[in-house]
Amino acid sequence: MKKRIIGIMLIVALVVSLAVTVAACNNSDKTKIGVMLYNFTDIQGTEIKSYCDYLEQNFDVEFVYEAVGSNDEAHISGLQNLLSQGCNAVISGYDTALSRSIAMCEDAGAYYAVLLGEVSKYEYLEENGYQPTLVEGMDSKYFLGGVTQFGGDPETVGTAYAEAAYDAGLKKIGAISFPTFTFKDGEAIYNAFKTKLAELDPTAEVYELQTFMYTQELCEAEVTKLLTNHPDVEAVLGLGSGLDYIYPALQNNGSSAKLLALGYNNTVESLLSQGKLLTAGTNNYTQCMASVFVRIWDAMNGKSFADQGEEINGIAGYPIITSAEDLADFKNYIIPSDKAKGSITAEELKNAMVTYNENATWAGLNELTGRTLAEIKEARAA
Amino acid sequence: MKTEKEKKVSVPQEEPVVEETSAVPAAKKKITGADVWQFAKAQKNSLIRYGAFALVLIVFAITTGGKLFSTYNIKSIISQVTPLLIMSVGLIFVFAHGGMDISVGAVVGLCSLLSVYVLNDTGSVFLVLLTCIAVSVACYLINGGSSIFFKIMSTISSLAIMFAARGIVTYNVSRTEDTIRFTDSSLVKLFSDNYGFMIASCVIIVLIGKVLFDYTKLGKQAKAIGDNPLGAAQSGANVNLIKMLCYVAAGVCVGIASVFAISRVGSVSENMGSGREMDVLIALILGGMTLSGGTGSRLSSAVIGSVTYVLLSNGLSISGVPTNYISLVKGILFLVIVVLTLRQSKNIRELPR
Repeated sequence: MKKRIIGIMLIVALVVSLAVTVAACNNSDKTKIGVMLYNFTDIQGTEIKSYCDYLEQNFDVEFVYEAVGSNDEAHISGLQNLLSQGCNAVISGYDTALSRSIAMCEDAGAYYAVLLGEVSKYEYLEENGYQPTLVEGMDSKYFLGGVTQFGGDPETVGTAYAEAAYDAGLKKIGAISFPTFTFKDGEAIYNAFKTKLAELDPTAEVYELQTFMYTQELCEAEVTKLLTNHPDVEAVLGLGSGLDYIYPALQNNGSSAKLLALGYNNTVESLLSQGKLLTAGTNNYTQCMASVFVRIWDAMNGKSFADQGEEINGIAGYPIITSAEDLADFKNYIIPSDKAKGSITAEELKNAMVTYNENATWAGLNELTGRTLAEIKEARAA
Repeated sequence: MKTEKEKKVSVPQEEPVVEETSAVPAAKKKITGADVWQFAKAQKNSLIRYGAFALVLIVFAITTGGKLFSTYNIKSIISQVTPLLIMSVGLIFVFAHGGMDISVGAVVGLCSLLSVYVLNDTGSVFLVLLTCIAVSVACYLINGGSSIFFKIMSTISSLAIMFAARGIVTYNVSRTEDTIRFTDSSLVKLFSDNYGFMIASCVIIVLIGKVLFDYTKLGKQAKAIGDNPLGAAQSGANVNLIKMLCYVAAGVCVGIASVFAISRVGSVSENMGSGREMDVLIALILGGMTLSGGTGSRLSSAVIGSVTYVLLSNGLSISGVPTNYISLVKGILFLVIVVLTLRQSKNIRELPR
């Protein structure tokens, strides 16, 4: 009897489900784009979502979102869920399981792009004598590339931070970042910072770069190590989520060291006014999103840039905040609630697309998405 | 004199089916409302387990607007269920004898890393499979051995394996700025894109698991050990040997599952496999498994639990539930099912062994 009842239950469930499936099948005419991020609750996630809402108002597009864990399998499951929803394109925050993701999108006839990082078309493997080898999937017409952060020039950020440290008269500075294999730009920023500060003030000392793996506990351990080895440290160059990880760790250790942080959150205003924070900064999420959206929209309309050549990475800027005035501008032009007053308007976006403007170029797109805060402010004032 | 622990035993949650032992031939017996009610009470856990699965199926068929049964989504579900189901089948042997394992994610990570190295060097999928099984079995033998012979709690020994395996993966990933990936992923297409092969693998592994778990000394004695190790030993079971064999079974399954997992992903990061331990636990609990092990353990828990868990994640996502609420909804559903299936019955008695 038990088996019979269970069998009946499952058959009924299946029949009802299939009946509902047949009855409910509907197709939307709108282009559907999936977005995958670790979360949509921090400033990065909310700003990206907010710009997507703006795009929905100005283009015939619908965005669907998938929060994915940081492991590869969760990423693939998330991608499968988005493709199951009928997405015509998927924007992933990261290059996790890239080749496989591209292959899956290719099978589903959907475009794929990486939002928050650049991707390399070639790799240099020992077994191939370090000759450039095309990474699997990079030649797929469904792969639309990534976005180079820090305006394509991380050294500029390091230089700007060094100038801020010099202006504050700092002499002994520690540096903490994520491991180089996960955050290559961190090392480039650190080196540029060190070089520039040595040039500005040869007596200033920048301690060796310490790294930690993405958890508050490991960050605390590195901060404790820094403060133990260098009790006289005056400031920390926080390259690994400076505000979310390093500042709390400094507080927990009772340190009064100032912070030069990569990152932005809602504590910036108060920390800046108290003099505890000298610099903050973050990716221009609107520019990241705009860069990939243009490529997706053009690709879906069968268009591409004549001058793009072999390049697969667009550019997004990195606004830096060092004063209350910078912060006000940042709020007004980088993260405004009304995106029509922000970094890139729908009109500017259409003008950068071959779909709407035959003269649009890849260089023009990179110029648009690489604008500095001052340039954006000037454009909005015009 | 027996200790308190030895005295305690809980009656298996699924009580015997009344009709099957009745002296009255089933054909002649008139089924009354009271019989149905008694049946429902006796089979409460099974009904909840299968009912939850049926409910998930119906609700998501409605809320996803039919996308749940699209060809693409069915393929997605198969590819998501396969590694989880195979791992769950293996680990049920460990949980049945009262052991615990939280190293499965890290072991999958380690096997995946070695899979990439082996496949890139040799091009042989067979060698990849052998390597994964060998490494996974070795991990589980160390895990089980330290737990059994050094009397370390199985949670602690598996924690040690977890840290060691995760450490090896992280160290190797950190040595290079290039992604560690298959240079020719077409070699593992059988494991990544052949859905017939995935289903066949699941069926074969479940059948073998079923035979081992329900019809051989290994499974029967493992369950007996889960209920009462001393009693099982006094009944002639070689407790240590059975426990070690259970770890071997888990190792073989996790090794095979690793090949499916890495083939699906194609590359290894430092987080490969992380969270798998919770996936397996949740799947088994959703399937009605009691994590204390014993005779209440059913292989069907692994099957029904894995499918329900994947359907739940997949269905919530494609139903358009806002990403911020998915974990919350999953948590509530999980809690409801756990409360309904694992709540101790008032009728459970403390019996002397």
